[in-house]
Amino acid sequence: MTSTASRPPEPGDRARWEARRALDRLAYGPVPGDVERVTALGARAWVARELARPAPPADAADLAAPSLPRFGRGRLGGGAPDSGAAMEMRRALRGEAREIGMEILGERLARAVSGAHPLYETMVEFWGNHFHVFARKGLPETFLLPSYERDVLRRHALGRFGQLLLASAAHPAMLFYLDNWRSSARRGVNENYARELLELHTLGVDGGYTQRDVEAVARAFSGWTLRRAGDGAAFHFEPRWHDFGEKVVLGRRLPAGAGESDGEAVLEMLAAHPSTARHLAHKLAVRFLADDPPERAVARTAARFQASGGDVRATLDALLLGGDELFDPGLVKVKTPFEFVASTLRATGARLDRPEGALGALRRLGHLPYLAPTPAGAPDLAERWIDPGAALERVRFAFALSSGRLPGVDGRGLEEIDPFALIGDALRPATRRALATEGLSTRERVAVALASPEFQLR
Amino acid sequence: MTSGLTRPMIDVTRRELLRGAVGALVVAHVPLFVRPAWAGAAGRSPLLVVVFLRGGADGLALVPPLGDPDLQRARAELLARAPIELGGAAGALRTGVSFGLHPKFAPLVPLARDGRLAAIHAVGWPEPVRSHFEAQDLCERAGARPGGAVEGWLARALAAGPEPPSAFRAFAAASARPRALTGDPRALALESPESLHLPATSPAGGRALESLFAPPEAVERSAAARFARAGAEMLDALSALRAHAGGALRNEDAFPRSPLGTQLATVARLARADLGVAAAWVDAYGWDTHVRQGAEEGPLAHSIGDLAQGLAALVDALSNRTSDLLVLVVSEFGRNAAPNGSGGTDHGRGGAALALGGAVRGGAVYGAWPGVRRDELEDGRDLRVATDVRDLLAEGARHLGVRDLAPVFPGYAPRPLGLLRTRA
Repeated sequence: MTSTASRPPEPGDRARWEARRALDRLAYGPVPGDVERVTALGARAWVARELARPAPPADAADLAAPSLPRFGRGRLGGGAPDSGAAMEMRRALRGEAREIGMEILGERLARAVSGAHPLYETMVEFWGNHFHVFARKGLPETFLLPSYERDVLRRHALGRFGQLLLASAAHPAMLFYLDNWRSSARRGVNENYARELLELHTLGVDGGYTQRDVEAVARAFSGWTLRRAGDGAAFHFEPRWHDFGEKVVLGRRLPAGAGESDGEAVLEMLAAHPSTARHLAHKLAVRFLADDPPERAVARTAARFQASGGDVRATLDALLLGGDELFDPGLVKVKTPFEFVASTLRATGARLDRPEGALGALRRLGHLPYLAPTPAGAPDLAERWIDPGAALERVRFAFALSSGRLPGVDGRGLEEIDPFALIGDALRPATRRALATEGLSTRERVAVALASPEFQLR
Repeated sequence: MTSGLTRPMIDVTRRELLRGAVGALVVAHVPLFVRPAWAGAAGRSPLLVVVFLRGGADGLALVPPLGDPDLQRARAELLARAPIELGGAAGALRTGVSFGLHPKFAPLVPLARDGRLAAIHAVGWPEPVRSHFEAQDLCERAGARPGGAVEGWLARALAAGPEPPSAFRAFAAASARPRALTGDPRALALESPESLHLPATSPAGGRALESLFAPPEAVERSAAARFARAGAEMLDALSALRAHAGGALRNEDAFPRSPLGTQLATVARLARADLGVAAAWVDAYGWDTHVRQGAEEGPLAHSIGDLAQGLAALVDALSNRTSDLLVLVVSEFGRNAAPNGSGGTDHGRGGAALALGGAVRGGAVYGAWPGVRRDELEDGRDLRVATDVRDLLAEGARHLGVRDLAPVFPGYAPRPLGLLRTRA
């Protein structure tokens, strides 16, 4: 028996299949009626329209569902570390940090589910994972996240990579996470940010840099630190901590005496470097096409990235519409847990009133934004997300949702859902048998469809 | 999938499991795929627990050479006073070097005294790798090509060893399956046994899940089939767990109330049950101490205390199979000899590892000692790597009964460290 899930569709169904594929890859899956709408427009035309759609204002509260007006808070815990008052303050702050964390993660999920700006939300998630910061780095980190989400990720998600890179480098959340805020030529520079900048954010691990480059980049960023600003924190360049000596980065000389602009020169150089284009093109192709994406798509995308000066829309255009790979039935992706949860809520038309239930499932599935344990973020590979334990969590989520036991989710419309419409046309015989089980209620049929192997693909 | 012989039996228990998914059910069958653990006096079976310290643990703080003036010069502010004396290096380049443990390892003192604790120093990857991601990846693949069928060294060791497959032959007490187990078709990640149960369904719902996750034919290789296969494994594992996992541990309270404590307690519970556990993996976080790591106290001391308390509780909980037990505590690299400007340490090279349990020839520090005088350090800043981390992992594979290490560590012939007691 061969796989039915990846069998090319019948010619008559091709337009529908392409619509579903586009929605699965760019929009966290279809809501009821989406496939028909996109089929009518044509999948490629729909992708082009989404690529051209203006990004929403970064702080727009454009959702009916949870509106989270706390963006812009940012407070560093104060007080002497050992005083009783400081302890009490820390306790209070920890409670508040939990609240902020829940709000920011809930807003991510709510926006993904709402579908108002699907490709934009997909790219916010992508960049958030690429420029990952860890909410549990320490108490201040959480308080810096709302601004990081708004001023770095949302502001630049469909803009220019170089701007995004600079915004991330100078943001207190990144300076704190990767320790650069303490990097001082007087006490010794800290290499943490420099290394991750080269390996993860720009050139890639095989991007052709050496330990000497890491050291030079770390010196270039010495003195990039934080200062208190009102209740929050802001970027600050501290000349007394900067190493003003000459640096050589990737063979290019940064003359002595420059100061703050050393770091900016490094970022410019890295943003324009061919290894960065290649690294990002490959990562985007893994996100949108396949775990092992076709070389021609990667090469084409890297070329456009470079030619356009790192323009994200132009780069995505080359990737998604510059070839046929997006609509190649042989190129299969497995949904990450975040995509799985968002797509189930969308597919069933469930209303997300409060995020706790859905976020709890994501925590158990090991995939919450801002909570990946390493600076590398979460991988977007099937091998990372398919195992018996993950299968169990997905089954549990599907049944909780369909039986109305998922806290914060209103699934009243679920009775109206056609389980076959959730999966598409290519059913494995086992799934067909499961859906035909005698005595299965409508809601359980929906759960079985959501837990099916077919629904885990996008 | 498993052999045809065991399949019908699995179906029986699975059906029972699913029928009883709502209420409590006493499973009368002992499924064939659950191997009776250490049945009989002669039937000893090894148990390997790997605790991976993610983030690059500071080996010079964990296992400091004692009274070393060079180390004193390099990092006085990071050296904890009153270290626990451990012993001399078995293969030291220089005689007379003796080592200690960070004082927060105090809960392990009884083990050390019994000769069931050893350290391995200057361990790491031979090429200079200083990124967490890359170094962990190299340690966990241990020579296998990325993207290959069985990427994880532990998955390969289990496949090469004599321990029969079972739902819980290997598992990770972690939020996610580590790379080291990638390629093992069954290994689950679970934070606690309670976290592993099916949702309440009607009897029809249970039957539907059974159909949905009917084991796909071996030739079906699509991503969907891969998920279906994972679902089939999951149903098998659940029925095994239901039939065999015991309740609370006698010394539940001895485990620290921390993520690591919970994970180690999970290892103890499953390893005590008749589930055929041969290998367990635990991920420990919080070792990437770039800032103010402290000496006797501080974030690093706190992590060490958490680890020590958890390990002591684990060994105690498994006292019924002490001689089966080998715990390896390993990290992706060590850290700089000298502090950075933030009172922390940056990514270095050689690190320290620990081995505990009845299988260990303890009371010694294994591996050559390259020294920490400035001119002995790599690039003038890092303890050199004297022992390839694969030599240490190979001791784990040997403990699992692997005789031919070649397929486990492609392109590398591990050197025996002599860490293991000869098994009776």
